This record gives sequence, C-alpha cells and structure tokens, in this order.
Amino acid sequence: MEETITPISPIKKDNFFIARIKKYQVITFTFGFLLLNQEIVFWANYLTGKDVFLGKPSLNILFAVIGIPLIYFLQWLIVVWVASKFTRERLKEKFLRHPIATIILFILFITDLPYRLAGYWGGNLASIFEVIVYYAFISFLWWLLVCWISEKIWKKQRFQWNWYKKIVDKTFIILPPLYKFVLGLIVALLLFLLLFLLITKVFHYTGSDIMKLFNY
Amino acid sequence: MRTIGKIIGYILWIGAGILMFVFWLMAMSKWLGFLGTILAFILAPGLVIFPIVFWIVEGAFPAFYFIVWGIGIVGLIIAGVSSKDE
Repeated sequence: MEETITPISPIKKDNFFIARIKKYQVITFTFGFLLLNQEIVFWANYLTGKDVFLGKPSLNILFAVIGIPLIYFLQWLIVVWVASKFTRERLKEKFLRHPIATIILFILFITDLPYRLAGYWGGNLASIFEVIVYYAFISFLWWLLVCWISEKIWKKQRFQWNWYKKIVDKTFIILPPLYKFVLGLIVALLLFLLLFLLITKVFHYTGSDIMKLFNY
Repeated sequence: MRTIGKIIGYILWIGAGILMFVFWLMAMSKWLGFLGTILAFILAPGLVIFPIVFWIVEGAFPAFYFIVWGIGIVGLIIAGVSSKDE
C-alpha cells in the first residue's frame, strides 16, 4: 500500500499591524475614514485660507502630512489594544456585573453629549460622528475604571435585575449592526457629495437642467 | 468590513434611484400636472427616452440625471465587490 505524504506548508504569520487590521476591520475602517475626513477638512481650510492651525505655512503642511496621520495612528493603536483585552462575552459579563455604574455613566454620557457637540451643529457630519465616537470611548474608559474600583470594594455582585439583563442582551445584538449602518450611511453621503462635486468640476455642470425644472 | 461596503454601495444605489425618481416625478408633474404625478408612479422613465424628451421639452440636457445615475452605478459596483468577497 502506498502512502502519500502531503508536504506541510509553514503557517504564514502576519506581522503585528496586518494581523490587527484584519482582526479589527471596523475599527481600522473608522479610523481610516476619520483620518481622510480630517485631511480633507484641513486642506480645504488651508487652501481657501479660512483657518490656519499653525503660524508658518511649512509647519501646517508638516502637521497635515505627519502630525494628523500620527495622531490617528496612535489613537488606532490605543483602541485596538483596549479591544484586544475584551471578548464580547467578557464585556457582556462586565456590563451585567456593574448595573449601577453602567446606568449612571450612561446617563452622564447622554446628558453631557449635547454640550460636547455644541460647536459642531450644522457642520461636517463626519466631525459630529467623530465627537460622538471619541466621547463614547472616553466614557467607556471611565466606566472601566469605575468597574475596576467597584470590583475591589465589593467582591460579590449586589444587584441583579431581569429588565437590565434584557436591555444589555438587546444592546449587544443591536449595537454592532447599527454602528455599521450609521458609519456606512455617513461614508455613503460624503462619497456621494465628493463624486457629485468631482463630476460637476470635470464636466463643468452648471445646474441649468435643475433650474429649468424648478423654473428659476 | 464587507457589511459596511455593502451598506455604502446600496445606500449610494438606492439614494441615486430616489433622486432620479424625484427628478422624473418633478418633470412629469410640471408637464402634465396631477395626471403627470400619477403617471410618474405608473410608468418607467426608460433608459434614454425620458432624458431625450426632457432635453427636447426643456431645452436643457438633463446632466443631473446622468450624474446621479453614474453615482448609482459606482454604488452598485461597491456593493458587488463587497458581496463577491464572501
């Protein structure tokens, strides 16, 4: 009897960054999109002379080329590191174990959010999204700290409510697709605007058909 | 990631479709009044017939219609590429 020996190919390991990009695709996409938005806003302001962040023009260009990508890269590293510490189940357990901290910090987050967004109403949609995501992450870190202190003080879980468990279960089901939908919607809207502007510029569209249609 | 790609693609496609329909509806209601509004819901604009009719009647090439159509096709490509990966 013949025995066939199949050669075992060595397992190819991705490097640190590629592995994390593949594992946390939604986080990477979010940061990529926010970086692109920030660069577009910066260059639009810089080229129209509306707002200059730093005094010298060369410093501004250096900031846009190196500074902004570096800031977003570091933020991506931090978020990915935090995400790697929690599986979905572990996070859910934490939410169920600390209902009081979750409710209080959620109320604080919701009530404070309008003040955080006060300067952004009527502005860029992606910037509003960025503020909400950024502030949600900061609140999440505060919540982790409160949970950690609470665990040190109370060793056993003191409160357990059925309605709270149901809300947490439902949130864990709804939130991931909802986040993807909102992010997709914002990206689609900006992509639509960008493509429309690009085509308008290339073909010198004047809007005469729309004006005729609406009798202007 | 693929889900986001599909969402972006379909939103672009559906959004472009809605804008094209609004363009068609506005033109029909302008030309034929209330009857045009009802006909806009029943009839289809056709691939090239409506833009030609619009061009002849209004005297302006409906570039907006074609720009939005093009963006819709880009959306369809994005959705297609995102679905293919699965």
